[in-house]
Parts: sequence; structure tokens; C-alpha cells
Amino acid sequence: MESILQVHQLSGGYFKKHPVLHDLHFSVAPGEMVGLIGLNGAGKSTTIKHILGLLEPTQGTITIHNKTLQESPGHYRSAFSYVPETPLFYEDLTLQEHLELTAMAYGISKEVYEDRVERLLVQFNMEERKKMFPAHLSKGMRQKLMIINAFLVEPALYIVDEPFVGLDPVGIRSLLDLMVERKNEGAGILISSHILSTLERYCNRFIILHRGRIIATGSLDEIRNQAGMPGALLDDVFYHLTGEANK
Amino acid sequence: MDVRILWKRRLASFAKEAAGYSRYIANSGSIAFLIFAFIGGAIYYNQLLQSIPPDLPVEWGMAILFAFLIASGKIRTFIKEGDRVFVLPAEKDMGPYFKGAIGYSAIVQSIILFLLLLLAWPLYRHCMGEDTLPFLQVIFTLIVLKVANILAVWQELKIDHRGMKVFHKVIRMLVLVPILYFYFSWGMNFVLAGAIVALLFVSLGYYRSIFGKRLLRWDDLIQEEKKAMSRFYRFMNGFIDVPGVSVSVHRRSWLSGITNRLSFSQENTYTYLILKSFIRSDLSGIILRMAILGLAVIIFIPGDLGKGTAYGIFLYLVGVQLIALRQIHAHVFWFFLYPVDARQRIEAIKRVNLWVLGVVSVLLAVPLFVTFQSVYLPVVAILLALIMVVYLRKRTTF
Repeated sequence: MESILQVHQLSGGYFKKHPVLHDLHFSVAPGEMVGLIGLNGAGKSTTIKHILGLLEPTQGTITIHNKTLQESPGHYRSAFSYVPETPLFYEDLTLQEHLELTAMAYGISKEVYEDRVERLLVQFNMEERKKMFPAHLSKGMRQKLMIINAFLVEPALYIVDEPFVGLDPVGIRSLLDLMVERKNEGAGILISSHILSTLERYCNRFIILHRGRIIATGSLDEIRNQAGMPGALLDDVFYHLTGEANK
Repeated sequence: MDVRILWKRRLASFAKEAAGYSRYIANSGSIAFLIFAFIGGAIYYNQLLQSIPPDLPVEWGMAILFAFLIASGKIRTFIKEGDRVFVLPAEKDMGPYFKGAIGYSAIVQSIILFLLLLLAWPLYRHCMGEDTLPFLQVIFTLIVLKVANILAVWQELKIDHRGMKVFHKVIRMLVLVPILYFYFSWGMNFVLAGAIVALLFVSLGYYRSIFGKRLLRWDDLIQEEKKAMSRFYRFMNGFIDVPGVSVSVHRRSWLSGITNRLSFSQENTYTYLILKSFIRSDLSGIILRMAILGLAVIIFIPGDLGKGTAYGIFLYLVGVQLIALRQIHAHVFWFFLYPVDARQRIEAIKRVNLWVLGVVSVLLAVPLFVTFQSVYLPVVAILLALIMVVYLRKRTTF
């Protein structure tokens, strides 16, 4: 099946002369959940920033549905939604107003919006807080706001950056159920996290980043084989691979 | 390093920051408003004085007001968080640095005393008549008491118990009230001067014996300084956008629902956001108060020409304030992600600007139509408003 996101020989970073990422090549196909893992500073967030269009590649291209951001900004941007690592919000809009704004920005009709938002608020147990300002929400609730915001759009691709930290166990479960549901409906998900035991259970494929390069990629069995550790836990495989790469 | 140089450097860097903000304030149009308010206030004050009976107990008012001003007041030290690590080892040599801090605080607070005395003086003279004391003598006396209190505040910074700090401050205030009452009522005489000098000696002995050997409380100094800085930034934030200062958000549910009238469509994304944020901001509060003030001035000012001029001035002031609209969500991450053209944000700001100016110009025009004697002047006023709207809209562009 044709992939949604295609990262093609990407090199880039914050400064043109000092690229952080080297020759990254991967894709996310419909109905697929891909785990992006790596140590602190491996380049996970930089990779995500490139996909979001916040940084410009020094080399290579990123396409969503075969179009780069420059070729078709509206098309590119409306094809994905994003859950940030740290909640980013407007101080002066209530939870509900954030969701309304997002629905408007992505051209969702009022009826469809109301239908979707009702379900999501119940799912994340946030119905009673929809009139609250972000300043009065806890860290976990702000994270839930970000998740509801992204899943409200129902795009072809989800980019999810470390979503589990600060969420309560029920919230984590709701998020995982939601991701599985959307995946089964044909969406692609790129998720970055340090919680390897969770990723191991849910992701179809993995990309292991180390110092800006992909050191292993593929399904769980494939990277186990690459590490020569059949049957091992993702955690152990990851530890082994990053240790090897440092030698 | 010489700690006196450190003090001078810290003071200079604060002065530079304050000067930078003052320039913004001068450019923001607030000065025009302040001058206007000052002139209006002066006229009103003068009129108010005529109607005040001279037998008002002004001595008590002055005594309580200045006792409060003299006894309170904090010491700016410009101490920074890092000093706890880097300067702490030199604590015993820090004397000249803190002398600088005490001197600076005494000067700044004396200036404030001077300005407030200036403000209260007409009322004081109005009530005291021939018994009015010479201004220079009064300000001199107040400054002497202020310096003594600043020195006491410095010693009290070494107190570890919050309640005891407050207790000392209250005692100073309670002692100052009768001193100032006697002073404002009968002037300086040997009895009062003797009492003040005796009091100063007693205090000196007390503070020496209790606090002489106590150590500085660095955490408290840092906390006090942080509070002072955030007061400074909050004040400046009233005029311009200071990064890092959390702006206050007002729910204003009676008005914020107005955005529901916008159709739920992609083109209205930024209009929805800008209008909602404007309604919840301090800016809309300022504009509302200005419009009410303008309405009152237009109603009470006599003559067509006066009313027309007031109309023009208030509309202009509102328009200048609205330039701040472009600051709303100027740097928001989400704008990069929305599949909406970023130019729509500017269009939305212009649209909201026009709506607000339109509402204010109509509101202010109501008394013009009701009270104008000549038919032509309202027409002139409306033309004036139109020109102003076009001009201000241009200034809002980027």
C-alpha cells in the first residue's frame, strides 16, 4: 500500500552547517503504527519538527500523500494532526474553545464537530471541565486537551510525541484504544516515546535513532534479528543496539 | 572585585531596562492619555477643593497617609539568584554594596514622598489656612523620618519570623501617626524635636543590640527582590507586552459568547480567536473605561465645539490603544500547523479593529446627536470619525 508519510534521505537540524540528522529514510503507511525511539538527544524531536515543517531539511524531502509542504501547504497541513510533548495552548481560551478553534481551522462542520467532541470528552473524562481555562487544569488534563484536540481532526496521519507522561492510567488506556481504533480505520501513526514496553505491544514497526542516524528499523522480529537477540524484549534490544553503536 | 562596582553595574543594568520600557510607554500613546487624565484631574481637584469645608480634620489624614508611606517601603537590592553561590563567600565584604542599596531605596522613596506631598498640598493648605507650614520644612522632616525607617527596614530583613516583621512595621507606623499629627497641627517645636531625637536614639540602641550580630538572610533578600521585579514587570505590562509576564484573563461570559455569531467555517478561524482573545484581555477593559469616560466628558463639556473636539480626541485615543491588537497571539506555535493561510490572521485583526472602532464611534456619537444645536457639526464629527478610522486602520497594518 502507498505510504502516507515518506521521509526521503533527510538530513537537517537547527543550523545548516551542523546537521543533527543524517540521511533518515522511513515511511508510515495507512493502518500502521510506527514507534520512533532513541536516547535523549538522538534526534526524535528534531525529526518531528522537520515533519511538522518547523525546520527546513538541508538535504532530502518529506512528503505527505506525495506532496511536500512547499508544493501544497494546505493539503500537507490538513493531512496530519499533532500531539506535542509539552502541552501548548492559548491562555485565554477555554478547553471547549480550543476544540472549536481547531475544528474551524481544519474545516470541520459544526454538526460533525459536536458529534466527535462529545465522544472524546466522555472518553477522557473531561466533560465537566470543558469550560475551564488551561491555567486551572492539571498537567495531565492539559495533555488530555492536546490529545482530544488532535484526535478531533481525524486526519490520515497522527504525529504523537511522548504522550504518556503525566497521563493517569485510564487516560493512557483511552489513548491507546483510540490509536488502535484509528489505525484499524486506516490512519497512520508515528509515535515517539521512552515507554518501550508499551510501544512493544502496540507498534507494527520501529525506528531506532541514535545520534541522528537510524541504527535499526523494522518489525520487532526484524530488529531482534538485526541485534542477534531473537525473542528478547524491546528494552533489551534497544539497550544492546545503542551500546553497540557507541563502541 | 570591588563590591561598589558590582552595585553600580547592577543599578545601571536595571536603569537601562527601565529606560527601555519607558521609551515604549512614550511611543504607545499612553502619554497622551496620561496628560489628558492629568489635566482633567487637576481641573476636577480644583473644583472639588472649592466645595470642601476647611474644617476637615486634614491633620489626621496627612498623619495617617504619611505614617503609612514612611513606615512601609522596601529595599531594592538587585540581588540575583546566582549570588547565593557566587557572592555569598564575600558576604563580610558586602557592606558598601548594601549601603548603595539602602541609599538608592531612600532616594527613590523620598521622590515618591515629595510627589505625594505635592499632590496633597493644595488640600492641606486649603484646610490649614494661615497655619500652613513651609513646604520645604515639611518635606525635609518627612525625608529624615523616611531615612530612619529605611535603616530600620534593613535591620528587620534579618528577622526570621514573618509575624515579627509585620509587628515591627506596625509599631513604627503607630509611633509615626502621633508624631506626624502633632507636627502637622502645631509645627516643629523643641518638645517634638526632642521627642523625635530621643526616639531615634532608643531605636538605634534597640536595633544595635538585637540585630547587630545577626546574619543576612539571603533567601529572603532574593525573594523580596523577585517580588519587586515582578511588580515592576506587571506595571510595565500595563503599557506594553512584557514577555514572560502572565497576562490576566477575564472570562467575561456576558460578552465572549458573541463569537458564536461567527459562522463555523475555516475563513473565520482567526477572527474567532482574535475577537475572543480581545474580549478576554485587559485591552478591552481599557477601551470600555475610555469609552465611558469619553461619553461622560462629551455629555458634560459645554458647547458644540468642545463636544466635537472631545469626540475626536477620545476616538483617536481608542484607536491608538487598538494598535495593541496586533500583539495578540503574535507568537503562537499552532499557527504554523493550521491548514489556514497565516495572512488571514492580519485580516482578522483589521476586521476586529474596525468593528471595535465602529461600535465606539457610534456610541460616542449618541450624545452629539441628542444635544447638538447646529445640524452641521454632527456631520463634521462623523466625517472626522471616518477619516480617523481609515487612518488608524492603516497604522494597524504590518
